[in-house]
Amino acid sequence: MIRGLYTATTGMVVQQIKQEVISNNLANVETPGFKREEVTTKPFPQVMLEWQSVDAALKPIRENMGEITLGTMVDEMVSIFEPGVVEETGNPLDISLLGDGFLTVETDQGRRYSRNGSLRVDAGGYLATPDGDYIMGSNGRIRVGSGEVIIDAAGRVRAGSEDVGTLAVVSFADPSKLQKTGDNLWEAPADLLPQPVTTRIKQGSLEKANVNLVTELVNMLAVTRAYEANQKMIQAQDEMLGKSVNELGSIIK
Amino acid sequence: MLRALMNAASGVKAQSVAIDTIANNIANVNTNGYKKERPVFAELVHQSLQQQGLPVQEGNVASPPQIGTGSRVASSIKVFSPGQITQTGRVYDLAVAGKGMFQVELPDGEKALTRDGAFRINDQREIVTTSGYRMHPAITLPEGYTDILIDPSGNVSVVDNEGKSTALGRITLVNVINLGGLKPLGDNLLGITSASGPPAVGFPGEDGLGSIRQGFLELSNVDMAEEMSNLIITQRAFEINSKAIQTADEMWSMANNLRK
Repeated sequence: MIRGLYTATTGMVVQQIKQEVISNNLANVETPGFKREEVTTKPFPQVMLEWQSVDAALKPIRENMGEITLGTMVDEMVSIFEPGVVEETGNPLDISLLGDGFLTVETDQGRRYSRNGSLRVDAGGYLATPDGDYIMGSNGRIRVGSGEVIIDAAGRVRAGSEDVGTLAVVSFADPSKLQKTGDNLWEAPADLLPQPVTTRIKQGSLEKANVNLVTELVNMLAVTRAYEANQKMIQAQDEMLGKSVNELGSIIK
Repeated sequence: MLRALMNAASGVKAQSVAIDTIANNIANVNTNGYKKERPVFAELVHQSLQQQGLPVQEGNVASPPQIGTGSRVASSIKVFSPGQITQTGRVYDLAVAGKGMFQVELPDGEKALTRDGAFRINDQREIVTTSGYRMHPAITLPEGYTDILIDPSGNVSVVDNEGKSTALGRITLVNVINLGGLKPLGDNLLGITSASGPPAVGFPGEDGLGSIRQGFLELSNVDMAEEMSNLIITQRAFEINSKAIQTADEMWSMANNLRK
């Protein structure tokens, strides 16, 4: 009985974490290049239930009754790398990657990767993210100055008529190992090396978040109901405990 | 549960900033030389979920589970696409065809930039903006002229009633590296900041600067259809985030009602 109480509690906590992930997806429904996240869950490790008894000679024995799992837990947080809708903006500093790959970003903390194509030119004339981190080319930072920026499908950046660099677009063998660090950036663990990749780039457009409102809403409904069911389980077991404590042992007057 | 509430609240807050921006763009649809703004959203930091007491897989997983904490408006980008240039026939209406902004002097001596080319003459016969800020470098018109001519390279001259023309000076234009870093000062003026980079002063038609068209005005670059569709998207995003707040609230209420 007590065991069941804790099992249902893990159910409530996991549903709560799911709701937190859904609310984060919804909060970022307008964030360019955002990839929605999903929680995968798994049961607690199985344990063997045993029954203690005595045999014919009154010697204690143990009998296996079967297996049981005592709850659920969060296994992984998975970014879903499906492409988002590409929206025409007409802004020359908006680019979208039409396919696999990430832009390389140089931050104070090291290399990061992003699919947010909303760029700007910083005070030094370098291509940067909205937060001021440098967008990297294959030969370092890209300085466009105050000239007109033209980025072609292969990622070559021209400022006016001058060739100033090529965007470093990379992909990863297993992008699921990338860690989100916030600010639309991903960090690659040391053993995951970026591989240059040829991805078509479209200037004047932005990749929107790949959050599907209907899916998220339906997930939200499912989460609420699963949460409710677990709450009911706790209440039911509380009642049963109440009965055994208060009624089973009461002395009938 | 608090996190689910705060995530959704951050979304509501970010979307309301977006609605404010759209409202400001729409309000300035008829402001000469106005450049529309567009909010850019970003994720907030991610936190590790591997805390004591949470049912989360521990140990040697490839990527330890992390959870997002909502969104924010990273910056508001001014879009410097050219506005429509319309003919007015007024001699003091100037439009810049291409890059560059007019420079005006603020009362405290600081300089500001503007694309609003609707100038006029003040009581000291100086060329000023509609709000009364003096063009820099200052150009003062003499008395008794019949016509004022401003050529595409910015040379200002007046013609008197005998047909004699007198050169008065040349209008300069200013460009900065990062137009998006300019700070709106009100009255259609933009101020230089450390983010915009130093001003590069030049003459119209030179160094990549645009030429000047007398008798024309640049309207705002706000596109109503675009703003309205953005308004719909933003309003719906706002709505779904408030739904997420409601849901978190309901779930919290269930947790509170565990003990009747």
